[in-house]
Amino acid sequence: MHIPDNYLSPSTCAVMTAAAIPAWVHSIKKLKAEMPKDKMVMFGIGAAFSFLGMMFNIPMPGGTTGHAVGGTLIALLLGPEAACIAVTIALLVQALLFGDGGILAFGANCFNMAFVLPYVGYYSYRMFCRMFKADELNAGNKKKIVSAGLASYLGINAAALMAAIEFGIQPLLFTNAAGQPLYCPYGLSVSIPAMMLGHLTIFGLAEVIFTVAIYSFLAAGSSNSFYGEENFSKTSSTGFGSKKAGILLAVLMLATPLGLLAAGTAWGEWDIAEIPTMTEQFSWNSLMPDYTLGNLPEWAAYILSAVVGVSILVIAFRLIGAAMKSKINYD
Amino acid sequence: MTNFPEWMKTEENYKAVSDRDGFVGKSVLSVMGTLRLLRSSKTSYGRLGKAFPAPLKLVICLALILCCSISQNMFVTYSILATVLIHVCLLNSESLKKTVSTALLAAFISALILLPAVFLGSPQSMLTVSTKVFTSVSLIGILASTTEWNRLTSGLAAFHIPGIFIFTLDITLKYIVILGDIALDMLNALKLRSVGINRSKSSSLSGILVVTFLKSRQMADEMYDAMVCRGYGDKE
Repeated sequence: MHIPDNYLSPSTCAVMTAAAIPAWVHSIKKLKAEMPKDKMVMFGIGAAFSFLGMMFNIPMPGGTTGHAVGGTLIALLLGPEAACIAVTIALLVQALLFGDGGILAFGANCFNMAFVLPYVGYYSYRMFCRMFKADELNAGNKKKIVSAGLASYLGINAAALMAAIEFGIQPLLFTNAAGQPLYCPYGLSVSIPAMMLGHLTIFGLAEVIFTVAIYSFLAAGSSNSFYGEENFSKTSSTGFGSKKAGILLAVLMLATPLGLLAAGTAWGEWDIAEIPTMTEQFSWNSLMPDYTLGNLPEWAAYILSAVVGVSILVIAFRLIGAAMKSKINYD
Repeated sequence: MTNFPEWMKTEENYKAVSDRDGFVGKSVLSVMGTLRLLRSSKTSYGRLGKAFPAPLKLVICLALILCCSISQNMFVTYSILATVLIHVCLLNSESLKKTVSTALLAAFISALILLPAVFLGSPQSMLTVSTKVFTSVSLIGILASTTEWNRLTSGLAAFHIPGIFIFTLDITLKYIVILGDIALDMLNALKLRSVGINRSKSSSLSGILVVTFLKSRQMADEMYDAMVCRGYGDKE
């Protein structure tokens, strides 16, 4: 769900950053006011944990693996405000040091994954807890585990929907003189089903497995580790294999075909009949005129292509040279 | 000769049945890759690193990415691409490999994503967007591989980002390495200690993450104590 640069227009990025700023300010203010000082250190370490959580591959039904964002889990462990800051920092590290997710799109990514995801996850968890009456002490942890699973599923899908909408409005708003889209070329009717199909199925499932597994393990093993629950009881749950969590997963798996009902055709699965432009407009000739360098003097284009060409050659040779060296590095 | 017990004389012909433990291996690899990147950022700090102070580099990088994104004219993008490629040529081979592979992967994925658009009547999107993605990711790659991360975080201070944010960022980067080592040790232990089919392997994965989390809480407490011992007060 990390949006790279150049899929969203700079103005969309600016708007999304402006939308994310109140969330950051609110989180920092609330944390400063409410968090005890000794928990301040926990943000950084929480961020390190959430970053590492994204590195783990969760085994999924059918022999595949997937990785989770874990925003809901962090929100349940540290509170939604701390989760907002922790995920923001994790995203910043990914964007600055790993090139994962754009710099300009950083605000948009934060809005989706550091604001929408943990807040939706946390408050829907509270709602489910109330719905299942899990607040009572005797109700046991299983209801809470089910709530946590459902909440994480809702959270990641809400974030994915936001990302899909951001993609989808690009061709409506930003086109060049010829009416061709400048950024993401897919409209809402394509981007929403394309994003949601993946998140309603595989990624949502990975998120649920991740959240439920860790939540139930923590609930079984250590008391007092959840946000807002000072005397969290450690009596009733029995670790990972909670039956209700299994039922929840089964229900979600059965519910996945719902993604197919979403409007439009799935990503890349258009038939010829659905592509009216194919016969009339499509021709490879239209690819090239945009890449001649407009009304630029010929020498400038010449120098540019020479520089690009020589650089690519040097890079290629250096890569080959690096590959020729001994593959084992003993240092 | 000596009397060996009967069970010692029988030939051992146990063959471990291979289990589906690909997820452990994958997790080990991705954690290890991250740790390697974070650690190597100290050594790949070359000639280019000292040419500009980190805040300036951050600004230039941001401006170039912005220009690349705003431009509707491929000339600007190509000029930036040329500059970027020259810089990439000057990197040492380790960072060159890292930068080029990351950028190529990003460009390839976006080309794949944008392939249907070619048939939907906007064929230029694929090339423009992929080129721009390649350029932006290479820029970040150059920035990351020529700047030590502590300089990068102090560079952020020049933009008046709140102190608590930078403090948190610094702790995060430090503890990714520390917690990553802990998680890696446990993942390796899990891989080494289970032979054949072991059904509880996948639930052990959540155990590893939980222990990492509990460790992180404990470390946070210890770090706070250490800060208090060194005179950290309630005042900012």
